[in-house]
Amino acid sequence: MAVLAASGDTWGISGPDFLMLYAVLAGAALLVTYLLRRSVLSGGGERGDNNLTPEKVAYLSGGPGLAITTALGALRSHGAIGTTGKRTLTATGTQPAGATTLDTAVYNAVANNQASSARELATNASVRSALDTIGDQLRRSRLLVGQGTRTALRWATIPVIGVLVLGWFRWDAGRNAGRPVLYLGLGMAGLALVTVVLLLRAPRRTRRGDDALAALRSQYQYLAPTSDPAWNLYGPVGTAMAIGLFGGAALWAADPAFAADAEVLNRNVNSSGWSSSGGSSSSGGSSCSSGSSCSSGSSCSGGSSCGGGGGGCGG
Amino acid sequence: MTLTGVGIGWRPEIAGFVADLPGLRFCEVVAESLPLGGPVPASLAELRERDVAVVPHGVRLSLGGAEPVDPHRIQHLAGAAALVGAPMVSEHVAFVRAGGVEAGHLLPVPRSREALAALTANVRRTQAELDVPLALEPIATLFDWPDDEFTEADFLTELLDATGALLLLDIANVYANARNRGEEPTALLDRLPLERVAYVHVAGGSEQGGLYHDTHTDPVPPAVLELVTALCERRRPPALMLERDGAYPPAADLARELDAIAVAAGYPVVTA
Amino acid sequence: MTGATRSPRAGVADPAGETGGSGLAARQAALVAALVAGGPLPAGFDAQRVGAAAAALRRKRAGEVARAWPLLAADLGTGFRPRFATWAEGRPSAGSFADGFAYARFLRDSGELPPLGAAELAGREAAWAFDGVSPPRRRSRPDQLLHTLALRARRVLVHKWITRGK
Repeated sequence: MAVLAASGDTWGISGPDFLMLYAVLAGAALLVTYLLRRSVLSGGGERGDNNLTPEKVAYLSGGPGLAITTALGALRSHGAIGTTGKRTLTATGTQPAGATTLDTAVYNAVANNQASSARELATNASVRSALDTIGDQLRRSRLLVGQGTRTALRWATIPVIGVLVLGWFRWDAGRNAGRPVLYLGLGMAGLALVTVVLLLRAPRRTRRGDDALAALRSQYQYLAPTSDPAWNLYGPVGTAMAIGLFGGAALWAADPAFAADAEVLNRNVNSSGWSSSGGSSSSGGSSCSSGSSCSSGSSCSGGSSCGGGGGGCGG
Repeated sequence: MTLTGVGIGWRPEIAGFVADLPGLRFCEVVAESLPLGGPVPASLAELRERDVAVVPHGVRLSLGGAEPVDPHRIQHLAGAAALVGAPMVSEHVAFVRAGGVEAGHLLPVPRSREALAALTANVRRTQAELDVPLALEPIATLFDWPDDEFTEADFLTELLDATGALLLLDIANVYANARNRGEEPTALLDRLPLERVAYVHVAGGSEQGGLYHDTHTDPVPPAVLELVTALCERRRPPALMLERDGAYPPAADLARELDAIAVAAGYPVVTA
Repeated sequence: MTGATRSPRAGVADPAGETGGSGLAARQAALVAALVAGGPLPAGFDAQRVGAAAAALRRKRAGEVARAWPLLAADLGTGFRPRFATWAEGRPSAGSFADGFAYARFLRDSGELPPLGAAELAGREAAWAFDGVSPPRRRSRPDQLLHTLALRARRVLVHKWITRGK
């Protein structure tokens, strides 16, 4: 690129001036990119997709693995499956009526000895097919980010890339003219890093998906393990919804022996044991929920255990 | 007094079920489970928004104890009433601790003048701090004290007369005590001041070792429902509630139990 | 149990015997002791019925402990309630959390603590300080770090459990 002899600034703009201009341009480009991404990730105008089944909720919140756990929980609640005590799933009853496609696939895989663990279920053909269907439905409903959205997200990075290209030309021109280009180079390096992150980063859920989950979690707060729900009362659907919304911890709360033997993942449980807070003991803390009620040594420091006290009069 | 119709004992374990009862007009909550000064648990707050009355039910004041009831516990009960805007509160004719040891359950008081005096004093101490009426619940017991000076009915009547408290009639306790004493349950009903009944508990139990245990974790037996009807024939109480503390059955079965109580009492069902 | 203290008698003079004499207090204390602390049955009570009441109390306590220690209870299955009730005879309650703590330790010391219960106990040993008498206290962070030995023990137990079947 032909430049004037070293008697003037590159392109006729001084270094500091250009840096300031560049910073403004970069800022504007980042803002535009951010707004474009936000719009792409919104998932559309209509709010509140109210007919999310537990397995859809699970897939939305925790992916295919959690959807399988939900099916296991529902089938277990129906008494259709169990474990042998040796980390092997087994059928203990007939397939329940009204089972979903995923439930059916999981049950059949277990009953026909095609899969004996959650890991093996994840690779079973009909289970995967059912999972893919759920994923497709969620992507069609714009709750999950689909391929088209991912592409659109990348296109949204164009403004920032454009600013980078401009900077590259300036940098190259400046270098050829022997002008200092250090700050520009540093700024571009930072901007390039941001661009790479934006190009690679695509969240799983749209905002609509996030909102739907938040609304459901609020609506079904009574199913959270910390609320100590009566699992038998809420039945298989309640158990499944709890797993979908609150994770494997719900199945651990509902049926610890089964969850342990089925090797259900619980974010309080890592492969080497429980977190030091005792994991599910925090719900056991209902008997010990505040320091003062513990230190009084009363046998009835929590609510429902008191309910047993008041209620079972003379029993 | 705004307690009417059929209600249920609210517990966190069944919060979702209680929230879905369209006709519910009142429920009861264990007073000690409400945090002093709030906040009210979210599902209870939603019930309050629907104008469902909430009655705090104390279980650990030990009004029947020889020692004066702990002022902190009275404060907690009064605070609970204020927190949920309760129309009344309730506690038991019982003691739960003695000699520094917690019994972990409600125990019967001896039906003696001394015990009556202690109870009356404690009830009055409690009432002094409450802005709402106090209802007292006689408990079920597998055994009686030796040398009782009063019958259960007389003891209760004297207590209610002396304190002006209301009666929380636990019909399952009436049944259990009569069964275990070999008496006729309706005989006790005939001698109780039924006009003082604020509301009624209905609960389940089971027979073990020849004795009837008021467990609150079993279905309500038909005999108890019959006793509900017998009570209503004498004087229908304004409100009745199902009291269940654990081993909850599937929602449909629990709803059926609630409906059975409504039918036995002649009140509209709350499940629809 | 040493947690609760006797509340003081009212200092007000009670010419009408308002607060009840020591007779009532002593009689009630004797009954409670007989029901939960292995004390002698006071005179005049039906032994069979008081025994039934004491057993019912222990069953109820077992239910509360099961809720505070769900993994331990699940691991012991239907045997949990009767076994706990037997252990609890003569031992007044210190609260369901402390009761479960003491019972889990008892099982561990007699080699009968199953793996899930062991893992639950190990996690709580690391997070709570419990001397068996005063109520359990949450450990401070540094204190918890010091108990990584317990964490390691937990890993070994869970690993043993995971590899036991296959």
